[in-house]
Amino acid sequence: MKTFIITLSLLAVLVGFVFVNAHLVVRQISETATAVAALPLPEKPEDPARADLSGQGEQVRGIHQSWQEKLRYISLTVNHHDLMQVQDQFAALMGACEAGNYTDYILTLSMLQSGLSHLREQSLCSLGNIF
Amino acid sequence: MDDRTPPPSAGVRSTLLTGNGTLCEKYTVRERNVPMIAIFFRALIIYITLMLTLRFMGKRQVGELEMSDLIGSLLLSEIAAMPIDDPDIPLLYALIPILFIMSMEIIITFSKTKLNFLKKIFESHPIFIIEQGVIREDQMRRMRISVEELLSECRQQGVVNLSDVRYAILEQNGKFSIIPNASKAPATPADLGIKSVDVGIMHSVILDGTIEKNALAKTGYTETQLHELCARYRCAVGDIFVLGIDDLGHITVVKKKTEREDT
Repeated sequence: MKTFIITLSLLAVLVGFVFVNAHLVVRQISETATAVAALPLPEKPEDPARADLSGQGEQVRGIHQSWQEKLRYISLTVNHHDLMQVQDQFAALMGACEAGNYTDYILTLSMLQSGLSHLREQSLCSLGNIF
Repeated sequence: MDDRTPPPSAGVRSTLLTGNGTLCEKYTVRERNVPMIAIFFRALIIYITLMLTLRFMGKRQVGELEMSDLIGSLLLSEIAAMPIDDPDIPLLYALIPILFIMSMEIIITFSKTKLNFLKKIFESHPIFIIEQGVIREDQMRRMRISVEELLSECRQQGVVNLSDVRYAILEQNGKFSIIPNASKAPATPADLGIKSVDVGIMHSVILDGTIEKNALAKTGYTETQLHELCARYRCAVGDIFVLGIDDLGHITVVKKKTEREDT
C-alpha cells in the first residue's frame, strides 16, 4: 500500500510538472514573441542597404538578453534544435540592425517571429501535438 | 543582403509582415519536433494501446514475462535510448516518460489486485485446452494452437500420448501446464506409502569465502557459531568456496582449491 501511495504521488507530481511546465514555457515564449512583434518597422528607405536601424538594434539586444535568461529554463524541456534556430534568427536580426540593412531586417524579423510562433505551438498542450 | 540568400521578389517583399502571419509562417514547412507534454501523453496512449493489444493478441505472445513487464521493457529501452541517440533532446524528455511508465506499471499491477474490472481488462485467465481428457477444439482455434503444438508441449512435459492427458491448461504467462491422468502420473512417496522428510532448501551462508548475512540469518546461526563451525572443518571462512545449511541443519562444505591444487 505504501508503494502504491508513493507511486500515485509520483504520478500526480509528474502530471502536475508536465502541465505547469507547458504553461510556463508557453508563457515565456509568448512574452518574447510579443516583444518581437512590437519592434517598430522602419519606413522603407530609398537605399535598403543604408537604413538607420540603431534604435531597433538596441531593442533587439534587450529582447535577446531577456530571452537568454528564459532559455536556461526553457532548454531543460524544449528540443535544443528548435532553440538553436531561434538563437540563429536573433543573431541574424542583430546583424541586420548592425549592418543597417532594411531588407535583411524585415526578412530575419519575419523568420524570428515565425520561429517563436513555431516554438510556442510546439509547447502547447494540444491534440495536434499529441497525435 | 548576403549574396547566398536569394532576394525575395518585389511582389513577395511587399507582403512581408502584413496580414495575420509572417511570410515565413505562411510559406515555410517546418520540421516537427515533439514537445515534452506530447511525449507524456504519447507514452500514456502507447502504454495502454500495447497493454490492450497484447491482451487481445493472446497469451502466446507474452512468453515468460507478465504483460505489463513486457510492455515496460519494450517502451523503456526505446525511451532511454532517445536522449543518448540525439543530444538535441533534453534529458527530461526521457526521464519523465520513464518515471511515468514505472508509475503506471506499479499502479496497474496494484489496482488489478483490488479492482475486478481492471483485472478483466488487463489480465487474462487460464484456458483449458484439454479438460477432463477431452480436447477443446473451440479453445484451440480461439488461441490459435495447432495439434502439433499441443503434442509438442505434452512431449516437453514428459507425456507422449494425448490420451494420457487429463488437463492441458494455457496459463496467463503463455506457458502450458500438462496434468496427466492419475494412472500415468509419476508415483509420489505418498502413493507408495513412504514417509518422506522435508529438508527444505540449502541456504548458502558462505560463498567464495564471504559470509552471506541474509542467508545466515535464515539458518539461525550467528557469525561466531559459523566461525566455530568452520574451525571444525579445519579451515577459515576465507578458505571455503560454498558452505550450505539446510532447514534440518545438514551442512554441506566445499573448500576452495589452493593454487597448488589447481596446478
